[in-house]
Amino acid sequence: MDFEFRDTPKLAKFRKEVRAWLDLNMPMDFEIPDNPHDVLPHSAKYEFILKARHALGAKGWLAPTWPKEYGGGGLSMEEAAIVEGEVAQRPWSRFGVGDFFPSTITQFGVQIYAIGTEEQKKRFLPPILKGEIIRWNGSTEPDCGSDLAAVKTTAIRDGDEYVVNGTKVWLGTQYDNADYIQLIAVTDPKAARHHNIGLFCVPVGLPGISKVRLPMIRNCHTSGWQMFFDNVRVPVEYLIGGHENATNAWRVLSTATRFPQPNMGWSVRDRNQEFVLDYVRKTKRDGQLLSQDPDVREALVETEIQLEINRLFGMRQNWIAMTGKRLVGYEATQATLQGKVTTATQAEAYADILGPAALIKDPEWALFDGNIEYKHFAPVAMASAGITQEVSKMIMTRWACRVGD
Amino acid sequence: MVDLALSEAQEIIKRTAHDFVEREFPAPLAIEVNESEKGFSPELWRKMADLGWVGMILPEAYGGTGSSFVDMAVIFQELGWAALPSPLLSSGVLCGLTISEGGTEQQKKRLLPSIAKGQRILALALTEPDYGWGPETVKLTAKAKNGKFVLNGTKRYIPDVHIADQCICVARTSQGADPQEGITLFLVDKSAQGLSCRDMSAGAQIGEKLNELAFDSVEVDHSAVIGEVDKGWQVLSPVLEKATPVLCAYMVGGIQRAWEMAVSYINTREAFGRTIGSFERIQDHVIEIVNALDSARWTTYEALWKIDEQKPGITKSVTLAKIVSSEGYRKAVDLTSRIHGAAGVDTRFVLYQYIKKSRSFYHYLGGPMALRKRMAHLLFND
Repeated sequence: MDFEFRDTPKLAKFRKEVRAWLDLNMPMDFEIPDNPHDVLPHSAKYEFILKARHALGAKGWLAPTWPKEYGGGGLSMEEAAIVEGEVAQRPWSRFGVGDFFPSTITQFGVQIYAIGTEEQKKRFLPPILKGEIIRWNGSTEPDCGSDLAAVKTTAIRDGDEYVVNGTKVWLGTQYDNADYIQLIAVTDPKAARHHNIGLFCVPVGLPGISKVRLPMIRNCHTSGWQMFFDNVRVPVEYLIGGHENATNAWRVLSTATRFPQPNMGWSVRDRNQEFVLDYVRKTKRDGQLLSQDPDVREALVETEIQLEINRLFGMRQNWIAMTGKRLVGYEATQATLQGKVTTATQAEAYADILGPAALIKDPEWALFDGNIEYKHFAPVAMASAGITQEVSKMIMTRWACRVGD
Repeated sequence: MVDLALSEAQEIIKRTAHDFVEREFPAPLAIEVNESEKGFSPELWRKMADLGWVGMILPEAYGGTGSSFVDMAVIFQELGWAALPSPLLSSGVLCGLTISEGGTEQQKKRLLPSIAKGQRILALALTEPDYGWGPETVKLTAKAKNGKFVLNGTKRYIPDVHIADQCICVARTSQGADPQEGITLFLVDKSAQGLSCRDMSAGAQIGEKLNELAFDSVEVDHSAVIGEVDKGWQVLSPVLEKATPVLCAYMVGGIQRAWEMAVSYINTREAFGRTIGSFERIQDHVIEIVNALDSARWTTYEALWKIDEQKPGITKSVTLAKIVSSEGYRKAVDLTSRIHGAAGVDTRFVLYQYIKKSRSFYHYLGGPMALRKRMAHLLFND
């Protein structure tokens, strides 16, 4: 057993190169906030995030393990882990490369790679993998979320076009504009569930697409918009995999990643926890340091325990990805669930300890540059992002309870 | 490189241990042995010693095999899976390590080979009426008199000492400002004059055999001192730390078994015309058990790895592992019991033995409430 990431001499040399490159290309020393989207457009931080995304993308490091021919880094898992680890250690990163381009590559890129035509791969993957284009995830609808196979949006073939009608919700972020919509729609209303869905990469400029902003608790990754598709005519070149894959996209929507990517987020101490530990060591109430209050201590021990379990589950997930041991099991879902539980535990503890100071974004009095305020409501906003805890448990059940599908 | 798999050799150890407990210790026997007067099977103990398990982490020079803590834990996990009771932790780990790390050459030569062979059983007598696992709780006195030491006081909640030949008694030889100073370890024969042993758990429904040891002017020679006079805690403290995740591994095995029992039951038991595993409220319980299992498993093995590799942060890891294992084991067996309904509290069913062990080991070597305080000290460096 080994619970430590160690470099071979060859990897140590590579790590030096990565450090030098980062020093040269991204020397900024400010911290990005807990949520990269919690940044005003055109602020220095926003510009830095874009710059970092494009620099990492041009180097191939947004998708370090992907083939170079599609815009990836062509790195081994060990090398990719070094890139991730080095990025994660920088003050401007929270947990690695994923800060700069969440999910477009790991979701949409993988799906295109899996069933796209060679022409589509050559056309869409390089700009996606280089971080040059933004896609919004057009999966969820007003009447379907966790049960994604129940989508109602239709895309009916008419010659070499598909006519799209329907509504998608909770797309995108507040500050970005999309270039494409990753759209899933029913292409054959008469076919059986799971055998009736196509995947499209829809340019946002097509006639018949409109959008309105949704008033979500702000800043969560899946936040901003509702989109309407009114007789939108989408040419077949945007149907991933072409006509012959028009009804069988489900198999790639529901399966595991083709290019496992290491995530070294587990190797970095949680900065909110570090901030609060430091804060209570220095702050007095009623003449007594907060760190001497037994309730404060107990609350921070509990967050520490949850964070440690989270770290170990993250390490295990990374190990599974690195060794290709098992790509489908309950472990990834368990790690996601633990992440949500941990962040909720933190939010409650920090709010208890810090009081209303955890609720403000005031430029003078907000704690940790406003990150504590974000941390406070993030678990609520993020509870459903990607997957709800309840559905996490349903997925775990198949493995953990050995209960049939 | 991060590698969370057991080595091939450890996989073989695991298989051997699992086959052994499955073959030698099926559920009916687990109930019979655990419920017997001594809570112990000398026959199984002999077989375990023959397999080399008792001396596993003791040095080869003294009859042990000098294996790693992870190796030892792999066996403990299987013993915990089977709810197999034995003085292995007391004799082979706690006392064996105390002697091998603190004893004189003569003591090691005299004691360790017979401990490793299982012929001599030792138990650790640390905790007292003022219960706790820190040095400040040690009140039993040892006073020098006529070239001997005279021990007076009481040790409570001591497992395994009723089947032991000797105990290592943690005594106070002097009292200063620092409670860690002035503690001395004595090897005491169970048959020593003035020493009496009483089963405290007689009649109790829940928990393992726990004993009270009364020392009424028990005289021991200077040769009985393990390590230096007044410096016993410096020997014992790291031993307690190293033994703790080994115990945690036993608890991990218990949680594993609780999970297996739960899964087996929910897929066969029917209610309202369907197997109960199809009910999400039941599934939620099993998810909780699995989360407890994996949390305990990885915190425990990281602590063991740190001990084997002498990595920094051992105390924090061990503290974390014990909190998570203690709380997780109790939660897992309780949920398994709830899933089983009344069958979960029928003493003819082996789950009962796991419920008992989850309680006994909850506090052993440190309970979560005390350990959470220790974790706070570590977090705040105070």
